[in-house]
Amino acid sequence: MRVAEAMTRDFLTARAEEDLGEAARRMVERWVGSAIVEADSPGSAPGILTERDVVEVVGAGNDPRRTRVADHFTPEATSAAPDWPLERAAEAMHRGGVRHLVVTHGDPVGVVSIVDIMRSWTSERRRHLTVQIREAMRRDFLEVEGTETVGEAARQMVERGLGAAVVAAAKPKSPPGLVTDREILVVAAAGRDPGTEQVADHLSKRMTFSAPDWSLKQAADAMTKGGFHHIAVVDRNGTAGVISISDVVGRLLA
Amino acid sequence: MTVVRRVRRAALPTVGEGQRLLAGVGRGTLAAMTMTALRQVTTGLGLVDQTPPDAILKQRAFGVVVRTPRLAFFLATRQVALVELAHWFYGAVGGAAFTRLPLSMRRHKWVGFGYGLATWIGFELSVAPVLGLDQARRIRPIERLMFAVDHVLYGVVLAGDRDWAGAERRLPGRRRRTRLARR
Repeated sequence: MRVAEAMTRDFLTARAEEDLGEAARRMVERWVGSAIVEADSPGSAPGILTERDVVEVVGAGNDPRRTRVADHFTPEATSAAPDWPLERAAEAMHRGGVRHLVVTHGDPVGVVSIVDIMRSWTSERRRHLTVQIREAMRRDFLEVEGTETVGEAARQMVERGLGAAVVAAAKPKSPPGLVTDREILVVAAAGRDPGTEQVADHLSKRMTFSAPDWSLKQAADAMTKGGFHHIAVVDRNGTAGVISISDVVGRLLA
Repeated sequence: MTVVRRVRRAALPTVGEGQRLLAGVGRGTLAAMTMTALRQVTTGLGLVDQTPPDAILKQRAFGVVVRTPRLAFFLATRQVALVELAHWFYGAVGGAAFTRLPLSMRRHKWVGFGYGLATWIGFELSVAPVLGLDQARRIRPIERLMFAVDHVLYGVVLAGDRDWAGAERRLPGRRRRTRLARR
């Protein structure tokens, strides 16, 4: 399958001079994780603003409403051509540690995300994922208390280069929660103060749990069907790890 | 003459259907527990990688519970106990089904062996492919053999001495009295 078949053509754009809070609001409204920022000069590659950039601003303790897109987007974003096979796009993401590629054909024609790739790869392709989740999950996950602020969680996530943090359960034996880049983006978009908002009030609703010995293929299917980017891996002793969509794609490329 | 025979048969006290079904459920559960014990050994020795109930939970259940995180959490944290309970439940259902076999079959010498083997073949040929379990595709010959063995054990324990499954209850002392009377 080619990038052109999987990409989102109806992509969001942001202006370099607009404030980050407004860009975040539009990203949440469209439920996308990135916006293309037009190139400064004709002929140069377009830039990209992602939810990760917003998390970095929040993590640094800055107010997204008083910050300009121009100061935080990635100029000359990693790009792909529409006729690239999806594997090539996935490899480019994996190498660059990014989750979105701007698809250009002279001008930007779309955005392809890691979710688009997972969704487009057929079930047959995912059948190669014969290993258990424990072999692909991240064991050095970040755990935060529900009483911590969103800003503090964002700071730790940025510091550790993670897209999600496990939120410790309020009671023993209760399910823990997850807070991801997306929830932090939502807080920023709503104009709330990440320095006072508690993590427990912004837990991800799009998440689920698995055991470490469940099949990775099932995790991949669950992510595709449920629209999850992260799954909390639990066992009898509590949280054992977190598996992200990037971990699954990385395993598929291996 | 025929009428007389019928009357005699009806006069004999019989085990009720409900009672037999209950006995089947009980013996089926017991047989499944015995099978579990054997599986502890075969998995411990590395002869079996993943048992069928395990395979169902780990390969298929996730897809079902994925949109209910609390249920997924419950399954993931208690899967060892749940797998065993599920297995015992299958065993109980198998035990109940056993009581529906014709009496002549239930009393056959090899019924336990045959029934155990049939449950395994049934799983291999119908349930596993329908569920799309990897079990059906990637099973090693030694695992296949071990599954056949533990299902045979299930069948043998389930059938037991076969008296419990009889339609007629043996009257205590009746045979002895008859023999004595003949003497």
